[in-house]
Amino acid sequence: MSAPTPWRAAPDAGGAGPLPPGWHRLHPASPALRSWKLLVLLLLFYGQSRGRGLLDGGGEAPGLFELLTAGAVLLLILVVATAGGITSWWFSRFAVDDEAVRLHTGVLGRQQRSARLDRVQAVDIVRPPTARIFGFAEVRVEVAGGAGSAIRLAYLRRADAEALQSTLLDRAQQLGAEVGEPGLVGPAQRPEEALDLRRPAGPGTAPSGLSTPDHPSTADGALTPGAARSPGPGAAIPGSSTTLATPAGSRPTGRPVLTVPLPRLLGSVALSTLPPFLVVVLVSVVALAVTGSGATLFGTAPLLLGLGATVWRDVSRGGAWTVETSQAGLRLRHGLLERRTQSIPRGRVQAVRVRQPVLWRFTGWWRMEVNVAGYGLEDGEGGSTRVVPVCSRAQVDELLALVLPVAVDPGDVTDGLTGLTATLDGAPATAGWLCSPRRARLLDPLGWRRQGVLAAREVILVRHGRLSRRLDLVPHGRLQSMAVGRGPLERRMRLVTLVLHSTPGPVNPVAPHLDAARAATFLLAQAARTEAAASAENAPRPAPALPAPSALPPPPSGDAHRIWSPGPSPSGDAPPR
Amino acid sequence: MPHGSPAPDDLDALPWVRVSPRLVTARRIGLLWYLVPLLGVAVLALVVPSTWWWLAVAALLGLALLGWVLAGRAVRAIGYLEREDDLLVRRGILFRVTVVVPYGRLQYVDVTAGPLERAFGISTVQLHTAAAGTDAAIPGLPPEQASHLREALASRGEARLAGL
Repeated sequence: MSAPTPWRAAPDAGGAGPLPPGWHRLHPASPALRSWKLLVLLLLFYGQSRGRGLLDGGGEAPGLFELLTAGAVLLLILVVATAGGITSWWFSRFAVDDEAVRLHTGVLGRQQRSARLDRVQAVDIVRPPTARIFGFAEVRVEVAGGAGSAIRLAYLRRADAEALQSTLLDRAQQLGAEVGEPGLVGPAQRPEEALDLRRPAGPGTAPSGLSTPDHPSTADGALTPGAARSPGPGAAIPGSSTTLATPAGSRPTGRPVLTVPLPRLLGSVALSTLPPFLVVVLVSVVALAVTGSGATLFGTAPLLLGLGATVWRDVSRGGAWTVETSQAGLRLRHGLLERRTQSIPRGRVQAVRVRQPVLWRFTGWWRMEVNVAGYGLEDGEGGSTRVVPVCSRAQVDELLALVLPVAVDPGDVTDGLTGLTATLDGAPATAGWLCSPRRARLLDPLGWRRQGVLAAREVILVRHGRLSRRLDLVPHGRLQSMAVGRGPLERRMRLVTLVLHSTPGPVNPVAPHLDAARAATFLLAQAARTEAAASAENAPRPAPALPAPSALPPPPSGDAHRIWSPGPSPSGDAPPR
Repeated sequence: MPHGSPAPDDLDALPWVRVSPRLVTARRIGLLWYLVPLLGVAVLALVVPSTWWWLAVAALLGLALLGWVLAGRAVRAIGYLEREDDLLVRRGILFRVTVVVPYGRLQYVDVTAGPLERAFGISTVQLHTAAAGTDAAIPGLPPEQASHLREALASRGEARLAGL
C-alpha cells in the first residue's frame, strides 16, 4: 500500500517511533510551546503571594529552606507537566489522506476525530506569539459543526503548516466539485473546478508532496500543466504562487487585494470607540454632579474597562491586516501578536455585511463582515468573521466582487446593484427599493427614509441606519428562510418587519417597518426567487457530466478509511492491511 | 401556486390550514402548571401574612385565566400552508409572525409529541434549516396529518436538495 498522504511532513516533524505509514506526530516542540504558560503562571502565583506577605506583614525575606522547597515543588510540577505534555504529544497523531483529516489524541481517554475534506469549511493557520518566535504554527480545520468542532493541529513548523493548509484547501475544493455540491461551491468558481473531475487513480500514486491527483494536462484546459502543482512540500507557500491557474485569466491567484495601514486601523478604532466613550464619560460626569460622590465612578469604570478591552482586541487582531485572492476565495492574514492566516472560500460565504459607524462617514471608511458556516458568531475561537476591519469605498466594491459567491459587479448598472452605490452613498429610496413608508416615521423618525430591502438580480440587499450605515447582502440561493412579524402597533399602522434568516454569524438582516401589503408580496416572491436560485445551483451543469455521488467509483484498494482502524488498538500497532 | 401568478399582498387572506382544536384543550390543561407556583405562593401567603403575596397569587391567577381565555384564539391563529415551492407557517395573536421556508432549505424535520399531546392525539412538526433563526413549528397536528406533512416535506426537500 502506498502512502496515502498528499502531504508529507518534513522529517523532523514526525519524531521517532513506530508510526503507521501516513501518520504523523506533531512537532516535538509542541509540549514545550503549550506548557510554558503554566511555568510562568506558577512563578507569578508564588511571587505574588510572597510579595504580598512581604508587604503586609513586613515579613522576612524568604530563607534558603523556603526557596529550596519552593524550587523543588516548582520542579516537581514542571516535571509532571512536562511528562504529561510529552506523553500526550507521543500519543497524538494525525493523518491526511484524500478523504479526510484525522487526529487521534489522548492517553487514557482516547479521542479520534476526523473531518471529511468535502465538509471542510475553512483551514486556518494560527500563530500565537511564542509559537511565532520559534517559527511554529497551528493548523485549524473548521467544519460546520459548531463551537469546538475544529481539528487543531498544534504545532507544526510554519512552512509545513502552510503547505498543509494549501493542500487541504485544494483537495477540499476538488472534492466539493466532484460530488457536485451546489450550495457549498459557488457558481462563480464552477468553471475551474468542474474541469478538475478526475479522482486520483489511486490514493497516493503521486510520488510525494502536494500533488494529489495526477492531473491530466490537456483534458482540463484550465490547468496549467507542470506549473499547476508545486513539486514538494513547502514549495507552495501560499502567497508565493498558488496552484491552479484561473480560467480566462480573470482572477490571478495570490494577488494582494489590500493591506490596512496601521494609522488607518488606529484611526478607525479611535473613531468607532469615540461615541461610546463620550457617552460613558458623560454618564460619569452627570452621575458625579448629581450625587457629588466619587463612588459612582465605580459604576462606570467597568464600562471603560470593557471599551479598553474592545480597543485592544480590535487593534491586536486587526493589525497588519492583508487580504489577497486565493484559488478558493480570499485569504486573510492578520494579527499583531498572534498571527492568523485564514481563508474565506467564496462558496461558503452565506451573507455579507458592509457597515460604517457614524464617525467613519467623515473619513469614508467601511468594514466588511461575513457569515461563514462553521465560524459562527464574531471573533470566537473560530476565525474572524471580518473580511476587513476598515477599508475605503473603492475597496468595498472590489472585495464585494471577490467575496460574494455569485457573480456581481457593483459598478454594473444593469443588474439592479446600482442600488448598492446609491445605498452606500446614502441616497433615499430609489426605484426598486421597498422602503419604509412615510407613516413609519413615527416609529423610526431618523431611519425610515433609509431602511429597506431590494431584490437585485443575484442578491437581496437590506439597508439600515441613517447615521451609521449598514448594508447586508444575501445571495438569493443562500437565504435559509424568512419571516414577517407584526406587533400591535405595527398592525395598526399597516407595517411589518421583515427578517431574513442566514446561517449563524454577524450578519442578521432585518428590514423594519415596511408596508404590510408590499412586504407580503415581496416575501412570497422572494421565496420563489430563493427556490429558483437554489435549484438552479443544484441543476446538473452542462458538460463535463458529473457523476452522481453514489456513482462515484469506490475508493481503490488502499482504502483511505482503513489506513488506521478506529478502535482501542494500542498506538504502536501496525495498521490492518 | 405557479411562479407567474401575482403574489397576494394580504397574508391573512391565504387559505391557511388550521390545526386541531384539540390543541386548545391540551393547552388549557397545560395551564395547570400555573398551579405549582400558585400553591407555593398561597402557602407562603398563609404562613407569612402579607398583602404582597396575595397580589402575587392574584397576578398568577390572572395570567392563567388570560391563557385560558386566549387559548382558543391563539390556536386559531396557528396555521400553515403548503405551497408549490415553500411552506408558510404563521402564529401569534398580539405579535403575529409568518415564516416562509423554501423546501430546498430544509435540513431536517422533527415530529415530537409530549405526554399531554399524546393523550390528545396530536403532535408538533418542527422545521429546521441551517439558520438558527428559523422558528417554524406547527403544533397540534393529528398523527396522520403530521406524518403526511413530514413525508411531503422530506420528499420535497430531497427533490430540491440544495446543500447549505
